[in-house]
Amino acid sequence: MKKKDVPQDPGLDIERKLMYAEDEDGRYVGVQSSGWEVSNVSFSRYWAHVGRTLGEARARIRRGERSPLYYWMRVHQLTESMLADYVGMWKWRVKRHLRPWRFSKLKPEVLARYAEALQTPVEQLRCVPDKDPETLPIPKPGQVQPE
Amino acid sequence: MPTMTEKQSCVVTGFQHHQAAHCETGATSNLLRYQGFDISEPMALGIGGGLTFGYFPFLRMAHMLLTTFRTMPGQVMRATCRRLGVRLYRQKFWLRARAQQRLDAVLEQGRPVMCQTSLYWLPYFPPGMRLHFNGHHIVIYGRDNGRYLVSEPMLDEVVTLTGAELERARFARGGMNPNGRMYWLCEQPQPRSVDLTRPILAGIRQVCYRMLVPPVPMLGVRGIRFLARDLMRWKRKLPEDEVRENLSGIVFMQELVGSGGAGYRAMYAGFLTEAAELLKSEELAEAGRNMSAIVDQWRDFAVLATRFVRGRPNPGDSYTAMAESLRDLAGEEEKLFRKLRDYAKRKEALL
Repeated sequence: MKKKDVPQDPGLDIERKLMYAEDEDGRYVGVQSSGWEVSNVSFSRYWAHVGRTLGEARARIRRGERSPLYYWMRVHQLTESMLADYVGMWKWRVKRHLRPWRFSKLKPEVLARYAEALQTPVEQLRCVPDKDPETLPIPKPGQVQPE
Repeated sequence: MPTMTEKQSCVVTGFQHHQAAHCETGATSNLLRYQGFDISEPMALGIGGGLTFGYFPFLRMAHMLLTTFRTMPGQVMRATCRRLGVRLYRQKFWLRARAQQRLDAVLEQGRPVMCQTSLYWLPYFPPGMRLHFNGHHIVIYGRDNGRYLVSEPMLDEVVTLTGAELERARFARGGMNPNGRMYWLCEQPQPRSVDLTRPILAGIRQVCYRMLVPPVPMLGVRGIRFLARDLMRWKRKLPEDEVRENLSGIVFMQELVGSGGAGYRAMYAGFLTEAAELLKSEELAEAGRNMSAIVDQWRDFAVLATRFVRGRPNPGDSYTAMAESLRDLAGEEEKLFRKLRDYAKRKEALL
């Protein structure tokens, strides 16, 4: 890749990241790049996937299959086993807490462990917002995908 | 936990932050530069033997198919220091408070510290970068007003973190746990002139070994061929959307995760050209030029795969063509690393 060919397509990535490219003498130098449209596609695809899992989580909670904790786990892009590792419990126990009935009977100490691990206040853990957190760069429906 | 006061603020004098493409090689190079070694980021990658290829169909990271273009976190730092003959101190912790005490103590001695952290809990990254990847490395070079001064290799400017933020990042969990791992060098900083011949050759030989005679078929050039074969299998066996997901994952690992372009190949080409100048070797220069061609080929593969990810392939595109380009790449890399291995062996015998 030549220095002048280094792509500059802004995306969800770091604004000025370093890439290595050849200068005129064939020597490799670091060049700042704002992103590449090809990799931006994978990036926004990943976040679209996160958005889908969140919508799915909300639907399952509404149907009474899952507790709100499930939604917050998904917001932090965690799986059951990762969350179990964060709170230091067995995976089966975390899975059990993802059921609404068990979740409603959780002791404050246990809830506090989840709150600490997910960096979310306990009151927030008990409910599911209608809108996904603004901080997540999830592409909105109808938003133009990078082409 | 003791609160930090103004009195306790300390900064490692003489530490300079240089932006890097990749976290660990960048941190390694920044630490070694502080010690007086003139080691650029590509040089750290080359001496540390950080290049590889791996395809793990049975593992996933952040829902994505796991391919890797680099070695495990921490290996580059260890190998580079070993080959340069610098004593590297490293430690991991069970107790969070002790990890912070130790970090403070080492900073007090005037040594910058490399910490393994999670990417997810570092607030200075844009929200799009917040993925659960626990093999990220940052350099702490001081603290001031209760905030740690952080040289983040991937950013062009230095940043700060509070003690709590740093602790959360150092004790992230969920696979490849950092456990507060920290690395530091204890020698007096001084200008040095080191003969890099042996370290460079050792690094090259390690990479050649990894790429050419891997112990399992998921690694090295065999791994690339394995991936090519699986690509054809996905087409037959998986639903269209999942195939796209997988392809997108490969491009993600290749181009995004701080690779400096083409899955560290661009950086490695930089290492080869730099090494060619140092050792005055025409063979290494030629290898560097071949590596440049391979970089362009990997990028072409990413473009082709992305056309499939978008679901809009050009008329001539097919999975066969994609698998063929991967096999080509495997062949080219095999040729290149065979030549490099022969060169390094010959050169080492003469030393």
